[in-house]
Amino acid sequence: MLALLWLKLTAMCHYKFSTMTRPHKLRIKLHYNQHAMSLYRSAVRLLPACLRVTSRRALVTSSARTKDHDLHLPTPAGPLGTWATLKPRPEKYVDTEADIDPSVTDPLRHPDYFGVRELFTMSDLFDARVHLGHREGSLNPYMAEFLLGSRLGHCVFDLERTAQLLRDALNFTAHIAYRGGIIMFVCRSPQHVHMVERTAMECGEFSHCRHWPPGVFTDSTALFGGVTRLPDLLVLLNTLDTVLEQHGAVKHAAKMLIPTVGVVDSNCDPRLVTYPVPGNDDSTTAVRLYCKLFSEAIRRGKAEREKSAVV
Amino acid sequence: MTVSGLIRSGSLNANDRPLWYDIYEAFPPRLEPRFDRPIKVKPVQPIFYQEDSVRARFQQEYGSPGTLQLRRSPAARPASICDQFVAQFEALRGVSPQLSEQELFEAAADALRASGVTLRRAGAGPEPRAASAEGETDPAPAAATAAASEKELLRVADLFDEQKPTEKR
Repeated sequence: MLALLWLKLTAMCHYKFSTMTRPHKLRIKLHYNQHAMSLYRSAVRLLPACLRVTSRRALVTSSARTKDHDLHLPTPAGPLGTWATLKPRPEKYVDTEADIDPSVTDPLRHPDYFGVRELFTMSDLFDARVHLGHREGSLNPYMAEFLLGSRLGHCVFDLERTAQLLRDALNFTAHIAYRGGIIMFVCRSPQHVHMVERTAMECGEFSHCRHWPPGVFTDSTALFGGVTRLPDLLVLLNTLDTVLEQHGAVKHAAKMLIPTVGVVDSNCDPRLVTYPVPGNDDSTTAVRLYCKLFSEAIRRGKAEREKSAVV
Repeated sequence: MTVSGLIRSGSLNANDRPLWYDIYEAFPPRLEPRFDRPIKVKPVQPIFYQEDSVRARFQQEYGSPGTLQLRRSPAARPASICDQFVAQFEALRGVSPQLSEQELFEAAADALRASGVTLRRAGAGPEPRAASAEGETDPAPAAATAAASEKELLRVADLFDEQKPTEKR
C-alpha cells in the first residue's frame, strides 16, 4: 500500500517536472525521487566549496595524432534509453580527434581514461560464475532483458551486456575517485562482509555492511549528531537486504541524489540503481572479483589524482 | 534531471553542483534509473544444445554416475562421465554417420566401459555388470568401483578453497 503510494508520488513528481524542461534540447535526465530537494540543498550548502568542482585540463588536439573514434562508440538516441536504443554521449564530451594517450586528454573527454576495459575479460567473468542467476520463479521482470536465457530453469546472464555495464560502472567509480569523492561499499551477505570491509579499508574508502537504519542518509544530522558529509558514490554488492526486501540504501541514495553502482541479481530490482551491473551476487568467486575490480578502479582514480596534484 | 532543473531555475548555483554531475553528464548510464521505466518484454528463452538429447537419454538410462566437479572453471575441471559419453557419441557419429541413434548410443556406452568407467542402469541397484560377468563375486565389483571412485574423491578441505583469501591483493 505504502509502496504503491510512493510509486505514484514518484511518477507524479516526474511528470510534473518533465513539463518544466525545454523539449528540444538534449536533456540530462537525472530521474531520481524528487521530494527530498530541500534536504539536498541544505546538504550541498554545507559542503566545502573546494570539494564540489575540480578544474579541467585544457584539451590538446592535433590531427597528426591517432584518433580515438574506435574507442568512442556513438549510438543512436532513443526515447528512454532502453537496451535497443542507447543514449549518445553529449556532444561537448565527444572529441574524435582526441589523442588515445590519456596524458594529454581531459579525463572526461576520453572514453576510457582509466583503462577499465583492461581490468577484466569475459572469461574472467565466466570463471567467477558471474553469469549464474537464480531460478526463473524468482526472476524480477525488469531483469529479464539482461538474461541470455534460462538453462533448465536457472537464469543465465548475457555476459556481453554485463561486461559493457560493468565497464561503465568501473569507469564512473574511477572518475569519482579521481575527483576525491567518498565511496561507500554496501554488502549484505554475511559470508562476504569481512571481505568487502577489508577491500574498502585497503583502498581507503568506506563500507557499511551491517543493518541499515532508516535515517542514515535522509536523517543523517539527527542520527550522527551533527552535519555529515554523505558519500558521493555507493557501491552495492547486494541490492537485496533479505531475500525479499530491497536494501534501504538503494531508495535513500536515490532520494538524496547519490549515484549508485550495484550488482543486481536476477531477483533484484534494477530501476533505481544508476549503473546496474547484472550478475551473480551470491557466489564468493563473483564477489571477490567485484571487490578486486572496484578497488583497482578506485586505486587508479586516486593515483591519477595524486599525479595531477603533484604536477 | 533534478539537479539540472535546480541549476536552470537558479535554486542551485552552478558551482555548487554535486561531484558526480559532470561525470554523469559525460558518461550517462545506458539505462535511465527511472522507477517508472517500462518493462522491456523479453521472453526468457530456454537454453538447449544439440547434445542435450544425448544427455537426456544417458541420464534416463544410467542416472548421474560419478561426482560432478563444479568448483573450478570448466577448462580446469575434469569432464563428467556424462560429458565423456557425449564426446564419445559425437566422435562415433563423426566416424560412422550411417548408424542409428540407438546403435550409436550403445557403441558409445561400450566405448566408455572399455575405458574403465562404470555404467550401471539407473535404479537397478548393485549387480554384476554384463561386460564383466565372468563369475566375479560381489566383493570384486565393489573393489572395482571403490578404485574408480578414488580418482574422484572429494576432500572436505577442497570445499573451502574458495573461502580462502587469494595471494594477489
